[in-house]
Amino acid sequence: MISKKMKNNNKLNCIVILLVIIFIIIAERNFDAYVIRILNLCAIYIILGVSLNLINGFTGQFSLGHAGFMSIGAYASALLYMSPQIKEVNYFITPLIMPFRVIETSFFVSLIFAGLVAALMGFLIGAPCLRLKGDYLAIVTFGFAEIIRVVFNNLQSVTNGPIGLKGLPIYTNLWWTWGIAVLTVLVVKNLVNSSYGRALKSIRENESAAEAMGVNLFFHKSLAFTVGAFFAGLGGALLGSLVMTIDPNTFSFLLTFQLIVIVIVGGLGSITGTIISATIIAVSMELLRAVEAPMNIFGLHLTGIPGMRMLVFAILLMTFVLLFKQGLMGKKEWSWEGFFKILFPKQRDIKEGD
Amino acid sequence: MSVLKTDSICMQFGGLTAVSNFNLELKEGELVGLIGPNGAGKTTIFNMLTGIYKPTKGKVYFYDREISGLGVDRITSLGIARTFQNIRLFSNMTVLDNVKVGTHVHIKSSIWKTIMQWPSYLQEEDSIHERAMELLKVVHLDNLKDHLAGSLPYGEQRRLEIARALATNPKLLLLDEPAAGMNPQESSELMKFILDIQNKFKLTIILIEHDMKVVMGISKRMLVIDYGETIAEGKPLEIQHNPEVIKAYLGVEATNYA
Repeated sequence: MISKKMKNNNKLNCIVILLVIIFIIIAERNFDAYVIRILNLCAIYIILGVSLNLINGFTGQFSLGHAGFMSIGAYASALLYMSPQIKEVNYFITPLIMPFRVIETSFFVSLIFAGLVAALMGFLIGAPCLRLKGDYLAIVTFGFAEIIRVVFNNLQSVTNGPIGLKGLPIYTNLWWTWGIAVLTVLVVKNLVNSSYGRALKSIRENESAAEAMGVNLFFHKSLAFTVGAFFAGLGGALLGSLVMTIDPNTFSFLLTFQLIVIVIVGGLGSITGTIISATIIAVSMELLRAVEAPMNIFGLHLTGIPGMRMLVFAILLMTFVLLFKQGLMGKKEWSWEGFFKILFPKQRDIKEGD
Repeated sequence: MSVLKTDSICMQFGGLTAVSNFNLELKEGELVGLIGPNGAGKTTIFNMLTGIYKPTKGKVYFYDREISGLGVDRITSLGIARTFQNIRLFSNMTVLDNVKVGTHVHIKSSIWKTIMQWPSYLQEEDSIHERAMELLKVVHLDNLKDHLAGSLPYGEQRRLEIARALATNPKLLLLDEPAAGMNPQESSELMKFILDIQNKFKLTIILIEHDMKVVMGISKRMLVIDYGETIAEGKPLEIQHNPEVIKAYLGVEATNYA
């Protein structure tokens, strides 16, 4: 039965998690800061991509508000984990409002706070948007992210306005990023494979039929937005502490766009696809720096052109989307059964027999 | 106690009256046919019963409880399920998952237990699986459970839609033209199938159908709607000879010749 199968898979999943832990231990000791940074970015992209996929891919609600949730998460956590001294240095024009001015919490507490505040906003934005569909929802959520950006630019006493926050302490490390990435994947996987997840997918497929089958649209859409925003908030918080400096324009539409690319390249409605594409994109953006270096082609000397990698990246992306119209994985998922079927094709019959 | 009772419900869209003063009382275990020419307002009646439209006038009672004005999902959870005239399956989901969505309305596990894979949640997931498989066996689709719903042939999609509706555990089933697009043999199989599930699940059924053979064959009582008004009610044989009905279907001239 399913529950038995799940228990077996859980064992295998535990082994994978153990391997990840061993890998992180090795990576922390042996890799240089540059590689570790890329690994961190991979994990953050996975967190953000998977959470966006929950809203866009599984529930079919085309949201462009992810940067807004990240922004909220990044600021909410920074307000807690920054020490009062750093806060005083940063807020030299308008002092920070009171409770936050003296508070300093651990990174863990600030992460939870970031997630919860973002989730609350996700619920608040999700609730009124429920009546909108498709393009209209996209415009409204996009507007929401822009509103957040503009408000944060002007809310000097909380966000320090356009100057942003500088000198954030680096708490983000491989343990935090990959730990939360694994948590995100587990939560979203458990959610989409459950009865609630089937309800979310049914909303994507046909809203009126889903409602006629007793799926409460309000509850389920809010659920997707809230969970998605929660992890977007965590991702934003991790990113803030990784890049050490945030300002409202860090979380612009371009960032949402990049996440949309990750989700679409991976396949709308596939967690595995999002993980693969997040990794590919985070790594390839760095590898492509090679094309910006000065080089000799057939005796022709080219000086490096800054920004060249984005051009190459765009061309690669277009080719890719033309070749894989459903994304890398479509709606398919990695599964242990599928993996073993590829590894041991002959044993399949025996297994089904017993 | 009546399963369903409508108290002269009306539906107006702007100046257009789609349904006026529709009265119906259903006893437990009845199978009532609802017929009428195209655009007569039959589907509008279904939409009012299931909560998609709120009647502009009048009230709907389900087991003596007023349901007009409740949300669609709420009404489904009380025990009214339907199929659609134009099939509305979840095409990119498997046949099995389509049926499982129907069971979601009665889920007991909370969202937290689901995410944490609580043992009680896993048990419930098992029982959902069993129930969905049972229903698929009833509609003879159990061997296609892993296919995408959208890839099934037309007739099987119709049956799957019925299975999905049954998964919500309904007391009243509303079938909107289940035989549309079927050949005579398929429709006669469908008639048998509808009677089967009615017995098996102790259902009360309202059936909209254009195929007279199907409706006349299985319903004990029929209502004829034309331009939103109930023009006739009675046993199939009475309906067949009712001049009003003949007029609605064939026009005035025909009655003169007949």
